[in-house]
Amino acid sequence: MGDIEILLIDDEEDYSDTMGFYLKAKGYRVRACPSGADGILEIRRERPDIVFLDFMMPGMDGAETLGKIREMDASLPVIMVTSYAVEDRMEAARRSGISAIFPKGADFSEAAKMISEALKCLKREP
Amino acid sequence: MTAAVEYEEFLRALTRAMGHTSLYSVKHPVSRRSVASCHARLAGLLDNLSELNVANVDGKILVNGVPLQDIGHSAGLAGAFTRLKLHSVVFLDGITLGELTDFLTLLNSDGKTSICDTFDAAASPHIKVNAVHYIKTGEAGPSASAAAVEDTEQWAGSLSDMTLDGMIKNVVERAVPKAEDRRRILDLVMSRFRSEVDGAVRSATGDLEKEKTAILQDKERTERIVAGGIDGLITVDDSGRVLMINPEGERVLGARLKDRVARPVWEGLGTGQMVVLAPTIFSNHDDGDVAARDVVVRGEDDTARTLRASNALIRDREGRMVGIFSVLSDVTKYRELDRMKRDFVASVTHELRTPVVATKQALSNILGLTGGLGEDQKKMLSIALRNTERLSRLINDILDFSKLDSGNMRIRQEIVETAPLLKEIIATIKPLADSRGIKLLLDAPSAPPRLFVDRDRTVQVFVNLLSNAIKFTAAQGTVGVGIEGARESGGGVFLEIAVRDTGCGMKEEDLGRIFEKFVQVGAHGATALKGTGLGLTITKAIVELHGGDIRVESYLGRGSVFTVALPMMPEDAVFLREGGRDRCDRLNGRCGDEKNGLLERFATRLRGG
Repeated sequence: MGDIEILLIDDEEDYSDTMGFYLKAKGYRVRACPSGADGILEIRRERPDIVFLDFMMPGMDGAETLGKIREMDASLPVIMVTSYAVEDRMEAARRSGISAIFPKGADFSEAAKMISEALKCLKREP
Repeated sequence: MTAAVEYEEFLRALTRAMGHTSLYSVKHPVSRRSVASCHARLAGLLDNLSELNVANVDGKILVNGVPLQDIGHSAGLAGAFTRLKLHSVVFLDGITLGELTDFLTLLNSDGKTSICDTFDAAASPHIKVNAVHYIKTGEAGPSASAAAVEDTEQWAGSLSDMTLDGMIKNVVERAVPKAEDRRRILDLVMSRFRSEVDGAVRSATGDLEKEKTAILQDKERTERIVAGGIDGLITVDDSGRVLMINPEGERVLGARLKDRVARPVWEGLGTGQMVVLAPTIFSNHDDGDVAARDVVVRGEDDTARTLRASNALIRDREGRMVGIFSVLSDVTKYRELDRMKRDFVASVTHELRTPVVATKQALSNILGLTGGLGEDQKKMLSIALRNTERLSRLINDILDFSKLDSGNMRIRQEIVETAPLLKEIIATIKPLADSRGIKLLLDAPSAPPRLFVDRDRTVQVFVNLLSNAIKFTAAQGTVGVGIEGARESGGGVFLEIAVRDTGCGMKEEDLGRIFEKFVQVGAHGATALKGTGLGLTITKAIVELHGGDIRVESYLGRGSVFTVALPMMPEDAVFLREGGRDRCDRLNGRCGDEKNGLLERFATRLRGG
């Protein structure tokens, strides 16, 4: 799994540090950045295999960041990270194409499952 | 006034005038008065009519064809007409008092000659007289047209006494000479007439039926709502008499008022309820609806109930108040639920504190007291500790807020030395300021006045304001706390302490709402500092519990100043007399007159001035 690179975009660095530590221990390569703008730059610099994108961020929020990501990459798998139910606000994001929604309170093992699911789907589609 | 009534009035006046001119001379004041009155009435009628025709048909007087039978003394008038062979007299507009007087004199003359022989038509151009002509059947004469008029008048008079059926029969009889044809025509007319009347009646009653059904359904619906309603309903009139009350209304008031409909609403109520209803009924609320309010009453079982009385005024079409409509809701349960919810939040939050404190302590023990940790382990443990501290702050905020919400926050005021207090506050906040690269300043005289405050809560106020200031100030910025001055207000003496920063400042429109609960403006910065949005609400509440106040000034991109006034020891008011007041006034003046001056001065001082 060392060849799979994950980008975490989250303003709560304590959270992304912890998640990053877990995913690294599982054998993924992990990059993290604290804002949507930084995330766009990171993706442009080097395309990761999958992105965890926090929905609630100051400045450019998750939905806006996703829109920017889709402008330059339509197929990059993005998992939206939400801190609490924002179902009605997720609609636009769903339409822009997301692989899954990961609730912030969930166990990190769920995140690992979501990653493999998303990558499997990607393989099935040409 | 209908025409018939006006005609009757005129006939009465005419008869009276005739009587008076007959009893007295025409020059007698009594005669003159009644003739003048009759003339006035006649002139009044002729304003709207081209002429007024008074006719005698078989001893009955008709005015413009309207039969007037029951006029007192009209027999006298009819008698005079018959005696003088007068069939009718026509009064024309413009008739003078003299003409009328002359005519009355003629009427009273006891001669039996026809009035037409004595009447001077040239002298009275506004009166026309028509003599009676007796016509034998079949005899055509020079006065055939007058006879036809008389015949029609007579016929009309006799028709007016008949029923509708009789009228139709009579008309047909006159119009159809042959008896056998008469029968057929009559049947035709009558059957058409009956069917049309039936149709009209059916359609009219059909509409009425529909309306009646709609009204009944409406009434039933309203009654169901009123009777089965969860809310109590009472309607009273403007003197407080019950017009209607539903079962729930009786229940919530704990009194049987149904038996008292049409009796004053306060009858049979306890004194507590009397107090409740009296202001509703008697207070002077001429405008608009009466606002809902909660009242506590004691029911029959002597349990206290909280009723929410929502009242509406009932007005008539002219807008006069004719009654009050009262809706009583028993909010005892809601109140209880609300209290239970508050108690639950308070106890849960309180229970949360213990495990959080234990976790926090355990983590700092591992980090500080045990060795042999790798870099990764240290990092993870630091994150855990930092977030446990954040959790602890959030829990404390919620706990404080629930105390405020339930009115259970208490402060214990004591004499507090100000300088050590400020030093302690600075020491508490210093690690945070250092971690963010922010310079911390303290500006206080060597012996400031002592405060009379709750020490822990005061520390909380300033730690809160300072951590906010640090949160919104970029690295290399400055945050300071300083004594501004003292002022007297409301019988107390207050020390003003300000917390200033050179941070990002706030927009004018945000300033008004930053003290509202859950409001976070320009939320950004270190996540570890994110809060509940309750911090400033709690801060303000604590200051106000002390009797003090908090105000804020802010300049976007330049910084903010929060000034807190807390009670100080009155004995130390020497601070006021020895320059303190001057200083305070000077600062206040600057705050008001040149808003930016204060911050500029602060910035200068912060830079080392």
